[in-house]
Amino acid sequence: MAAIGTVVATPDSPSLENIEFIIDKNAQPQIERGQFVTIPKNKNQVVLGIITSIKKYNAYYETIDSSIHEISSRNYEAIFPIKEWENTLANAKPLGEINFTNERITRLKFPVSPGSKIYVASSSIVSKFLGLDKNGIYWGDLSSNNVKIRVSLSRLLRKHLAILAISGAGKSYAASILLEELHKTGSISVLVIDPHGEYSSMVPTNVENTNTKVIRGSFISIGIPELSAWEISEFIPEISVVQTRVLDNIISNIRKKNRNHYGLQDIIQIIDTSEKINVRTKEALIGWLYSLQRTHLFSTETSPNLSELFQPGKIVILDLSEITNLRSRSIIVLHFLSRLYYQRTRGEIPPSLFVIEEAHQFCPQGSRSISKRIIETIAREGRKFYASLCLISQRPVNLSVTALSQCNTNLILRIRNPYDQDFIGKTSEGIDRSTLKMIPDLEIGEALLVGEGINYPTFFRIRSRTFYNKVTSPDLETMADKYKEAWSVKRNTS
Amino acid sequence: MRSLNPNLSDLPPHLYNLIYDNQMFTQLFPQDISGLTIGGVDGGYASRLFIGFDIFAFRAVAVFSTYTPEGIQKTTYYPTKTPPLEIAVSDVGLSLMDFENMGTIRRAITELQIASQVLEQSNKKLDILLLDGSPVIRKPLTKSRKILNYYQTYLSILSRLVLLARKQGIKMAWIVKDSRLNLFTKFLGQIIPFIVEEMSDILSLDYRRIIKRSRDMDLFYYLLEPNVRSMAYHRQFSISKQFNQEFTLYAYYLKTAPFDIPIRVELFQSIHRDQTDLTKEINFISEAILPVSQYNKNYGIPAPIVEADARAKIKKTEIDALFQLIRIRHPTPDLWFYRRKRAPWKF
Repeated sequence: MAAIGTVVATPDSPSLENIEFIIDKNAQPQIERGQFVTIPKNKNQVVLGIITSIKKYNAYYETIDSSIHEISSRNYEAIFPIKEWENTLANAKPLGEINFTNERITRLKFPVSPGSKIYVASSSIVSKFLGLDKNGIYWGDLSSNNVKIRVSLSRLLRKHLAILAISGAGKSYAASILLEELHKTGSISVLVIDPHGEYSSMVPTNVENTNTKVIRGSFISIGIPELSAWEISEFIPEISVVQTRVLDNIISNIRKKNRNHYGLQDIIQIIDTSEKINVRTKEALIGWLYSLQRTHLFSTETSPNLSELFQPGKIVILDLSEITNLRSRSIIVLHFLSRLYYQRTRGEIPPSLFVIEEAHQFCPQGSRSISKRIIETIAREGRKFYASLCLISQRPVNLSVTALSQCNTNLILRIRNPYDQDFIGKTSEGIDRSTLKMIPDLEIGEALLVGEGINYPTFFRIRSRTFYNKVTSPDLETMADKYKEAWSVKRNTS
Repeated sequence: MRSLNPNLSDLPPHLYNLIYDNQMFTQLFPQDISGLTIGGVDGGYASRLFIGFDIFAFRAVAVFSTYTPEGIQKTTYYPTKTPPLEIAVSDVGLSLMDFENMGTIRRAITELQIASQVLEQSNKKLDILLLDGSPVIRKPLTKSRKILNYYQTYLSILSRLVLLARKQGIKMAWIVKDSRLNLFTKFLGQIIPFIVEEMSDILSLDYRRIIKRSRDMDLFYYLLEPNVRSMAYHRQFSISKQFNQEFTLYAYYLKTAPFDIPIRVELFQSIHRDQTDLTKEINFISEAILPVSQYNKNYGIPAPIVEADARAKIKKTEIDALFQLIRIRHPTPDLWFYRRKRAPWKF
């Protein structure tokens, strides 16, 4: 392999923190920021580094004067051999020393020598350094080093995952890659909370037995007979302990009479006709229960029965796009997550992953949400029970710090908001300032993987989807035309 | 004076013979240099004094570019883009003045050797070769035979180079960037009484005092407009008598950039050549220099000289590295240094 450059001596390089090198002209097209490089120390040892910055230098343009007093009719490049002296310099951050004899990676203890040749790191060295797993989840490629980013499933999900990016940067796409991989491995079961119906449209309709099941919001119901008074009270954060106790008595009485087919309306009637209940408690309870009834989520039976659907390798998508009310969505999230999580703690369902889109809506920082408690509980304790979270958000700053800080692996796509960037810097382990600076410049499809899942923050390009459909949302003009058409048909008919 | 452009042909012979033009100023027109190959040669020199010996480091580079209507088509460097240093150790106890002379002459020799090699290998593809500085090096006032021998070597290489250029039809000129000469101002002081009718207003000034305090470059900064050159002046420096072809040196000033001092151009001409030929050659060289010098309002050095200078320059870091290498390889290097360099502290 040909060298790509030579280490130069500057006041602060080569050191244990920085290696500056001049890039050979022929090698320039293959060099990019974030690329891993090696500098051989001897036959058995190489120093591994990552390119942190690249700059061009030309002494002809070193001073401002060289261009401001230029005579307009003539430019320098027509008279001077300027291009001959354009040099490309790069800085690499030393990451460690690899010893081929004992296959150990150790901290760099002594700088490399000026004049050392620098090479593109081989894929095997990079894979070893990053701790990639050849059988792991295939997220994408680090093309500059010809490395497939395959992350160990266990390392990626045991301590939860967060996918963070601005809207339209490819969060759902990245998550769908994860689903594809889990679909392939067929080992764990997955629940996807899909507030916008993005995932349901990805599922191919022409493939049978896909292991992916989409449940539309309108088909979701929560069976009242399955709920205790304390569980119902979780849907009504304002309910008092006294009111819950009264509700508990009523439900106990119903169950004593062996009735297991009752709904909210039945409970409301009993409260309304009861003479034992204090009038103020009665009015409050009826009010709370009516507010639940208005969500149209409650029934005498729960549908779907997720415990039955939750088989190894199954992916269940709860499409909540038809439910516009955030409270209703949160009730669904709370109910199904609670059920599945407690079933998982008792070993009744396989190891599970809960993918929550727009996680900041269901588990916000600084404001109340019905579903926040269960998400934070899984974030804190799920690891012990092999119940993992994948939180997806476009506003990390609005996402519960408790939940986000428990996500030990972060997949970060483009984020522009400085508050969000700052927040990511504080909550993500292993992100340094220079890495953080690169996040706003990420292109669509480029991602940074950082944390428990990988040994070093790595920028890579997310792979193309192979199983799920490609979904593109129509542009504004198309949607306006479509509406106009539908409206004129409606008018003509009427 | 600038607008009058006095006619010099009526000067008395002892003054007229010093110059090679009939007019004080000549308007030039930058020529189309596409198709021409113009080269530049420059050298760098650094030295260090030690007890018992001195070390010199030299480097000379030639750069030549071929131009097209769009600009540079190709640039070639000789011997390489970044040639290594040429190191010389002098074991004689030189006085400070001899030490300076030795460095200057040897650097000039290195430059001329590179220029000669370029001409020998250029296969007549070079049109104009520009060299940095003046070819005039006065004979050193020294008893050191070694230095005098080097001086003779310099003159001999210079003569061969001028003959070689003449033989190959390559036009060669030396470019002096900063000059402290006052040949022209002196000459001007001498001719003013003869051209006074045309410049009567100058008599109202104490021109002798002004001229006495002026150097050529200061004077011509005001007198010359861009694209205008002064009359060529005959310098007292001849070579090549041993080849039966005597060449003498002519100098003139050329203003290339509006806010820069003019450059002095010097070139050798056979004493047997007629005036028209010389004027043609001077104008040809000047009109080729102008396009490669007009890129900045404040700076007008020809590009080949700027480029050669940049490549030949010896950086302090190179010299430091060289002496570090010597220190590493010698067991007691500190004994070589003068006492002032051995102090264990730096105030």
